Order: sequence, then C-alpha cells, then structure tokens
Amino acid sequence: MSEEKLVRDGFEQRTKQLFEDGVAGLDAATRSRLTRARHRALEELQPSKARWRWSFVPAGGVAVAAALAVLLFVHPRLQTETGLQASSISDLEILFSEEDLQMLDEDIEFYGWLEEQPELKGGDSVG
Amino acid sequence: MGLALVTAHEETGLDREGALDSGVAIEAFLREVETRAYRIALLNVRDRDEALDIVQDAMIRLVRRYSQRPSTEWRPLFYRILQNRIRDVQRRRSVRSRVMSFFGGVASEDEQDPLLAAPGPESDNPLERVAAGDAMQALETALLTLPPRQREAFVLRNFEGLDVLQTAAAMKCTEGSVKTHYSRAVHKLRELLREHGEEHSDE
Repeated sequence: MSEEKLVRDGFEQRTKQLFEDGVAGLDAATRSRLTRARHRALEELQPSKARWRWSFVPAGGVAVAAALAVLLFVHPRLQTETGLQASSISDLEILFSEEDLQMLDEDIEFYGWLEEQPELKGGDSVG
Repeated sequence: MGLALVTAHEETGLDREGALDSGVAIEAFLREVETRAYRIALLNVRDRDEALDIVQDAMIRLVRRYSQRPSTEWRPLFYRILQNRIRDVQRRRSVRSRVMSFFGGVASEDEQDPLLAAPGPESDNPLERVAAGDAMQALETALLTLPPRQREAFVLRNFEGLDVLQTAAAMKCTEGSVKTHYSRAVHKLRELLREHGEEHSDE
C-alpha cells in the first residue's frame, strides 16, 4: 500500500493542534445539533425510508435535466450563439436546484477512479 | 422447498444482521468525523447554520449511497462529498453575489470577498472563544487566502490526517497534485502567519 504518513514539522503540528482545540471546544448546542444531524442521516438506513425515497425520485431534478437536455441537444446553437445564455442557465441551475445534479456525474466518475485504486480496497485508514 | 425456505430465512437473517453491523459501524464513523467535518465546513463558509447543513447533507449522502461499501472507503468518500457540498454553497453564494451586484447596491465579488469580509465563527461560549484565541483566527484567515485546492489539501492532509492516496481520492486528483498543493499551502501559510507573528522558529 502506498500509504504515506505525514511527518509534521513544528509548524504543521501547531496548526493541527489549533484545529484540534477548535474541535474540542465546540459548544454543547452545536454538538447536540450534530447528533441530531447524525440521527437524521442514519434514518436513511431504514428500509421503509429507502422505499419511500425511491418512490419519489426527485421530480425537480428530472425536470431541470430534461429542460437542459432540450436546450443543449434540441437547440445546440444556444451553446455557441451566446455564452451569456449558457452562463445564465448555469447560474439559475446553481441558484434554484435543490439537488446538486453535478454530484451524480461526479460520483460515478469518482467511483470509477476509486475502483482503480487497489490500495484502497481492504486497506486500513491512516490517522 | 423446505430447505429453500430455511435457506432464504437464514439469508434474510444474515442480511439483517449484516445491515445491523453496517449501521453500527457507520454510526461510529459519523460520530468520529462529525465535529471535525463541522469545523472544516465552518472554516470554509463562516456560517454556523450553513456549516451544519453541509455536514448533515454529507452524512445523509454517505449513508444513502455508500453505507454498503467497505468501511475503508467511507473516509475519502465522506470528505469528497463534504468538499463538494462546501463548493456548492460557495458557488451559490458567488452567483447570488453576482445577481445582487447586477441589481445594484452590493459590491461584486471582485471588490469584496464575502468569505474574507465575514466575521469569524463566534461561539456562544466565552471559554471557547478564549481557547480559540487570536492564533486560530489568524490561521483561519490565512487558510481563506489560499487557493481552494491548496486549502483542501492542507485540511485533509494535516487536520484530518488522510494519507496522500486518500486525499487524492477525496480531491479526485493525482497523488502528485496532492503533494504539490500541500507543499504550496504549507509554504504560503508559513509566510502569512510569520507576517502575523504566529510562526515561531522551528526550521
């Protein structure tokens, strides 16, 4: 495994320690909200939750994707005629999309990359 | 038929047991990373509520999509998702800032960086504020002046202790790029914090 542990010099150790102090000093209210967030995330493990989710595949995301597909493939000239329009579409997508559609592609690409890394398969985490 | 039923029943039981183990493991993982992830998000977006939202989103996405993956993959995946969410919030802010400046009144992002202009993350707890002190403020400010990829490399490598390969997985770049980004980040931070008087001679 090509794991390379970081050997921290004095400067790196001090900055790391500052970060650790910040983590240790988190107030109770924030910790409580983080606990609630964790519990909310773990609800995703419940089978009923998963079924419910998949029965309501994000309609908004599908609608945005369909609209973009129409704009880009049915009217490909839009892309070249005005950069402004393309940029506006991108801005609107960022502003109004609840689900980050790009992440779906990124995840697939990322997973492809991850699959090619034998070192990450069965390896242990490095602290 | 009977055997098939028994086997199916056993498999279901094993699946349930496996899912339970996986649930316990991923809860332990989330418990371990949640406060650290929050500090990282807060460092980047300088807003407590947004930082909490980012962490919750990242935890949900990890559980929803990757809880069945080997636990050794969770860490780079989680930080990958976290960084994506941070970038997403920053992009939205940037767009919002452009839109607001278009409609008048507010300075454009070139004139005023909202992150640098924002007040530091303040705690309600006075003891926490004292403990964090000027040094943390100086470090946070210095980190925000770094290019995003250098900041990511520094945070993941130094604060989170990810190795080069895990950092490359989280940042979706080559191991060589991680080393370059990290080295530049350390160099730049040294300079900035030396100017600020935070760096003591240790070289």
